[in-house]
Amino acid sequence: MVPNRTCALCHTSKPILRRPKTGQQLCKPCFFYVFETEVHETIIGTNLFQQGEKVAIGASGGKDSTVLAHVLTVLNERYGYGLQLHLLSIDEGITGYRDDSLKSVKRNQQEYGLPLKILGYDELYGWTMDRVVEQIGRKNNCTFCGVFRRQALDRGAASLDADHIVTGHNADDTAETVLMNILRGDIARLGRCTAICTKGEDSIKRSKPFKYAYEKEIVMYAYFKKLDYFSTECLYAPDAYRGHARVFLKDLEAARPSAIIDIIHSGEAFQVAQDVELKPQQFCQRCGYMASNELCKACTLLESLEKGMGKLAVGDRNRRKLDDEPMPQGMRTIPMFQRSATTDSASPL
Amino acid sequence: MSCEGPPSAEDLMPKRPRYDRDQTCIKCKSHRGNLVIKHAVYCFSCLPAMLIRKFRRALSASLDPAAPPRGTPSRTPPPDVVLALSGGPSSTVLLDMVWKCFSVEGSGRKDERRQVGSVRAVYVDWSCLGGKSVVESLREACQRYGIELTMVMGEAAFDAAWTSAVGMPRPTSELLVNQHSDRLPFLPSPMGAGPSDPIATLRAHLASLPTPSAIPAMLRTLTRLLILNTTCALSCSVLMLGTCLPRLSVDLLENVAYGGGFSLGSEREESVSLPLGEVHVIRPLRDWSLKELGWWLHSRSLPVPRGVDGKPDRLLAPSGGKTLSKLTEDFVLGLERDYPSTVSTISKTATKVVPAEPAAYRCAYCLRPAQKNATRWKAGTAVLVLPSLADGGNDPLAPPKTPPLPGAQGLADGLCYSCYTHLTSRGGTGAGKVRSIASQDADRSGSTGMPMPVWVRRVREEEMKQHIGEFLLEE
Ligand code: SF4
Ligand SMILES: [Zn+2]
Ligand SMILES: [Zn+2]
Repeated sequence: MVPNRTCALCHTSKPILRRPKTGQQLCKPCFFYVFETEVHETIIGTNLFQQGEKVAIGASGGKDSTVLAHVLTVLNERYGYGLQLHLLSIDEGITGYRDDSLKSVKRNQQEYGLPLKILGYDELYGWTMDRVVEQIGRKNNCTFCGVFRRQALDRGAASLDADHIVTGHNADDTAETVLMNILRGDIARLGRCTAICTKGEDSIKRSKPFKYAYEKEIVMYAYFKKLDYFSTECLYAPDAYRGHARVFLKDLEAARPSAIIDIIHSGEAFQVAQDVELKPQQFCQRCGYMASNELCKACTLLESLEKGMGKLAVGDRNRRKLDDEPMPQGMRTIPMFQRSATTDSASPL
Repeated sequence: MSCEGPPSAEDLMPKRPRYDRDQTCIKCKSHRGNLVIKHAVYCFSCLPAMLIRKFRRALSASLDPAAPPRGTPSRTPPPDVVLALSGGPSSTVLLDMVWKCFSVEGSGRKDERRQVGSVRAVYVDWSCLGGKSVVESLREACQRYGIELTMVMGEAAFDAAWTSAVGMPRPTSELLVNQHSDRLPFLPSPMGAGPSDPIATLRAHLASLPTPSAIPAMLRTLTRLLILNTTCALSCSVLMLGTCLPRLSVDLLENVAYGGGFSLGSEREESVSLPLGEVHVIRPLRDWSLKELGWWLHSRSLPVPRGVDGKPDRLLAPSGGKTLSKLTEDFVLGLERDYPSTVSTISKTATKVVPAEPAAYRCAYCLRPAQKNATRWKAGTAVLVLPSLADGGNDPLAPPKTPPLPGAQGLADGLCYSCYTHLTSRGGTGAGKVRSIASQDADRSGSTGMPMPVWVRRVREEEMKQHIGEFLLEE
């Protein structure tokens, strides 16, 4: 592509990049400006934060959460959100992957001066992912990891007394989730996967300020800001990562860049029909966490590991077999989930 | 992958289901089975009855969900029906099925024939874009079945003379919009220009689309509107399409990729109000797999014109890069091969979702329900101009030469999200090729502005204010 003489926004500086979302040729300061401003507008437009709120940034050391920590720090200062930002990292216990990425989280912590809390699977569940994989092999390991991470984040935030977790999920992730839920017919998730912020009964708010930020632009931002992030893939990542949907989405984006936003818009434009029954929300009888059955997913999976039956645990069909097996002596369980009820008296930004 | 969106086994595609092949037909329980359809085995003598029953069931579910049981005489006269034919395999099956179920020669039972009234067929011919017309072979086929075929030329969508045939007020002049501006403002109509050539106007319309992906999408919409209006003009109230299951899944997913989630349901079934009446669009083959279609064609020895699927988008397939339509088709057909259940899941998902809010108006281009402010929302997802800063100077963030977000109104305020996307979303592979794909001659290169199909009218100002009121500042 022939570079234009001047940036499409300021019409003064020399453009150095072509913006993936719009195709405009921009200079560096203008790119930073639009990227940050769009995130700010997402935050303001959705009343995402309350003045003075304590917010835990789910920090993995990867590009999305690294850029998120940076941008939130910048915006918090620029627009006076008054947020108390914390970094919250989950240590899955994967040698050679998480231990290295945590180093980059620690460097970020120093750079932005944000407090950091690390919570390990080992500490919470008594299992590291290394040991889980030892038992169940390299199939379904991400199911365990995903379920454990979700609860660990909530518990980590609760221990920080934070009401709100923000994660680095970007527009590509959201669009892909919309597609996946359509392909899998998961109506319940389809209904809520585009929400910028989700909140269970008494659970902590979770939100995605990068909901409309393109992955390519996040990488571009990190690159031009020279942000320090960790980009190695997890040793246990499955090959068929989320099936073909990701590839399909990338192809669509290449053919028409707005496809990502358009898919998200589609997802936001429909809702679950009234007569489709959804499972009611319950609480886990063992650990008090949100659940859709008697036990929450984490407790079920943990029980299966403790019984040495981790391979069976995925899918409802094997639940019976698991129940038939007696509880081993001294079986580890997750401590009861408790949260101090906070009052929502703060005013929105 | 830094794993911030944790994958899980549930996020992987569902596995291909395993079925134990029983040897005997599940219907007659005596013959050896010959064909497996959705985990069930059928013998060759039970299959036809099964497929006919399936066709009838789908039809009555769409036509009259609260219909009295079979045998009870219905009080309302049965609807007159138009079959939309493309010349492809599924329209061949549709034609044959309708004959088998509703003609005196095809079906025995009188009460069953009463489900539909008169039957006609319509074909939209896009040979003006350089494709091969299948009208001759379709005419022969229709003659065999004793069904009258009406042919509509694709360029009629840009022919003012066609409007009177379908009961629309005749436009006084061509409607032009400025496609370079985001709100698609209306341009003054060319003064003193004589009647324009519909084919050249069609080509000019296609040539001003911003991406190759928009071409097949818009041609599909044009075809749909031509058929709908023709159905009405033939005094029929039901339009039957031969959409089969994989095709429906492609259409649904395509619609999602275009941002048309709001009208997802319309892709399965819809009712459209037109100047001459209301048309109910149904797809009685929407549960049919390619296997079932293929078996029906084979067992009835039906000829399908080779190498022609009658689809206009094929004629204009861009050389480099694929369109969203083609990508989606490849993706879904790939799924059909490896994970057959996913294809029907897509279609089932669509039945379980409804629009998140009531429709604000009908899109001026496609006539589907549109969501309030959706096109403004889209325009706001990217910062396209810098705000004016008081202290400009040499600041790289100094005020731009062009004014920020214009309050300008235009066609955009009368469009649905996906039509707006097709008309305005830029970039991507092959974006520079549209002009050469769509337009052979420099016929209209002198004129500026994008001409619109004859049913698109200038949105009246009061109507627009209703849609966008909250964006306007007090004067
Ligand atoms: S790839 Fe799987 S195992 Fe690795 S961190 Fe992500 S979810 Fe856990
Ligand atoms: Zn600039
Ligand atoms: Zn439309």
